[in-house]
Amino acid sequence: MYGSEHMFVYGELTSGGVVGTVRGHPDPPGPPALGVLAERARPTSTSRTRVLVVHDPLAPCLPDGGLRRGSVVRCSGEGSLSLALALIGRISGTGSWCGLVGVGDVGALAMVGYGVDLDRLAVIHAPPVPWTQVVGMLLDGMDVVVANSSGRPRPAAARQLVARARHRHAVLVVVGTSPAWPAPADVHLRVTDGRWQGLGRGFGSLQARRVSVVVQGHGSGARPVERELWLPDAAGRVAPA
Amino acid sequence: MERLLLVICPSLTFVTGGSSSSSDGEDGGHRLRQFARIVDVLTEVCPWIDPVRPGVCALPIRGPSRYLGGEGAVLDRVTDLVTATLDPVDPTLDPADPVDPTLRAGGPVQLGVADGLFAAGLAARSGIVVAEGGTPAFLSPWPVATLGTPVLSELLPRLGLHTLGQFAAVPARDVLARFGTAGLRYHRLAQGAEGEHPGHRAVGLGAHLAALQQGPELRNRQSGFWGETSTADVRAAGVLTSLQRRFGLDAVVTAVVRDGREPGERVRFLPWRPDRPGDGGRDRPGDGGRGGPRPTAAPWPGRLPPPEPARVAIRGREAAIEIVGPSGSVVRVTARGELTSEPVRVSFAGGSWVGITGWSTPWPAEERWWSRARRRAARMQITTADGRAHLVTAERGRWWLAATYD
Repeated sequence: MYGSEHMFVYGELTSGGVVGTVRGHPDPPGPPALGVLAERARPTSTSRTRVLVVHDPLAPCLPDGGLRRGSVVRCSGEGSLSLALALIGRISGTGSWCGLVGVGDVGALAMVGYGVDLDRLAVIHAPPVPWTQVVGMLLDGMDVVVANSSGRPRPAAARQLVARARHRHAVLVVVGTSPAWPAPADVHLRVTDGRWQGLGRGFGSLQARRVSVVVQGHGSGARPVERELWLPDAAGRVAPA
Repeated sequence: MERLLLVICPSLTFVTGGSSSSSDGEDGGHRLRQFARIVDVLTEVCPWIDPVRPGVCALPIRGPSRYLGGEGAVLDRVTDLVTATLDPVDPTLDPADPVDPTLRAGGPVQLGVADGLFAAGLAARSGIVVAEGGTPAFLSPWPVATLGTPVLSELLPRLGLHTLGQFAAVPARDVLARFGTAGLRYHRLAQGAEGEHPGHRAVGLGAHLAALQQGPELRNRQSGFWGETSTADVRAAGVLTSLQRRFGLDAVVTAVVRDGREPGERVRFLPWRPDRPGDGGRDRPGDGGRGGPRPTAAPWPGRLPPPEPARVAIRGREAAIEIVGPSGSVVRVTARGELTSEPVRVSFAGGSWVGITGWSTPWPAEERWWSRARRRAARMQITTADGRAHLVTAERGRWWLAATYD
C-alpha cells in the first residue's frame, strides 16, 4: 500500500476513477471512500498492468506510485536524463520493452546501473525524420518511450503523441532541459539543485549526486511536492536521500 | 465519391491468375513481400492504405494533403517513400529478397489522382492528377475496352460506341434494357457516377499482405523471455522491424556491454535484431537495479570508478574544450601526470566560461587504440559551478569532453 498512500498526497488522477476526492486526507477517518475500496478490491493483475512499477525510491515521485499506462511524463532540468533512465530501469528489467529516442550519446553503463535491460531497449540515436514521427511509431510497440525533445515540437504533433500514448496504453517520457513541451503532461518531474559528492579540489572522485525532484501533477491545482534523491548513488542506482 | 491517389509499382504487379497459390511462387512471393513493405511504409502518409491488386494500392488523398500541405506534397512524399523502399538500402535486410534492377525499368512508381478507383487507375497509367470535379470529362475519351469486360468491349464498338463518353451518353434505361443490371453498373462507371470496377480487386490481398508484413523472421521465432515469444515481444519486433525497413538497419540499435576500460570502449551499439532477446548468450542485468553495474571477471586497472556517466561521447567524436588556470593560461598535464596549474574555468565547444569547482587528480589512460597510435592520454573528472560533472581527457595536446554525468 506504499503507492496508494501517496495517491492520497497527490490525488488529482486524470483517469481511472481512482481516489481523486480524498486528497489531503492521508489517513481518512471512518470507512474509506468507495473509490478506494473499489481500487483495493481490484485484482492486482489489473492494477499492475495499468501502472508500471518503478524503483521504490521513485514511487513517491509519481502520483500513481508508478508509470501509469497511457500517460505522459515530463522530466526536465539538469539530470533529467538520469531520472528518465532510472524511471524505466525496473520496468525494463522486468521484461517490458522500452525505446530511447534522440540521445545520441547515452551512456549504456549508466543505464545498466539503473537496471535497464539493454536487450529490450531500442535505441534510436538520431531520428532521420522529425523525432515526433519516430516516437509515434515506437509508441505502437513499446511499453515506455523516452524521447529527448531536441527542438520544440509543433503543438499539434505533441498532442498527437499524447493521444497515441493514451490509445496504445504506452508511457511517453519526455526528457529535455530548455525547450518546453507544448502539450499537457500528466506529471512533470523537475530535477533541481544537483550536487555531486566526492570530488574535491584536486582529490577524490565523483561518488554520488544528491538532487531535488519537484513533482507537479496534472492540473493547475496540483501542489508541487519536493523529493530528495541520490541520482545516482555510489553504486550507480537511484536511492532515497 | 472519394478522391483517391492510386499508386502503381510496375515492377511489383503481376496477374494472380485466379489461383491464390500462384502468388506464392518464387517470383510472385518475392514481389508481394516488397509490395507488403511498400504498403507498410505508406501508412506514414495515411493509415488507410487500400491494397487493390499486387503492386497497386490506393489511398484517400484529401486528409494527407491537408496534413502535408497540398496534393503535390503528398505525391512527392509517396514517390520518395516508394522509391526508397524499392531501393536495396541494405542487402542484408532480407537476403532472400534481392531486388532485380531490370524490374525497375520505366520508373519505380506511377501515380494518379481522380474520383473513384476506376478513374484513378486510368489517371495513374498516364501519371495524371485530374482536377476536382473533372473526373467525368477525364473518363470521356478513353476506349470502352478500359472497362475490362470482354462482352462490352466487343459489343459497344459494334453499336458505334467507342469511348466511355459515348457509352455514358446513352440513356440509362436503354442500357438496362440491352445489358441488364450488370451493364448498368459499367454505364455508371463510364459516367463517373460510380467509383469502382466490380471484380477488379484481388480477393484476400489485404490479409495476405498483413501476414507477409509480420515477416518470416517473426513467424518462425520460438525463444523469448520465458522460453516463448510473448505478445509484447512480437509487437515490439514488428514496430522495430518496420522502423529498420524504413530508415535502415543502423537506425535502431541496442547496446552491448563488454569488458574494457573506457566507457566508450566497453559499449557498442549494434543494429537491433529480432532474435537477440533471450538468446541466452549474455547475462541479464534485470535485477531491479539492485545489482549495480554488471560485474566483470577481470580487473581493469584504470577503469573509471562508478557511477557511470549518463552521456558518453562516441570515441573519436569528443568535443574539444578549453581549460585554463588562474592566470588564464591553458592547463596542461605534464609527463609525470601532474597539472601545470589549478584548473579554474572551462569552456565547452567554444561556449562561455564556467567556473570549475572540483577536480580529480589526472590519471593515465593508456588505451589499446591510443597505444596503437603511440599516444598517451590522461583523464580527469571535474565539477562545474552550474552543478554539472564531466569526464575530460587530455590527449593530442588538448582537452576533450569524453562524458557528462547528466
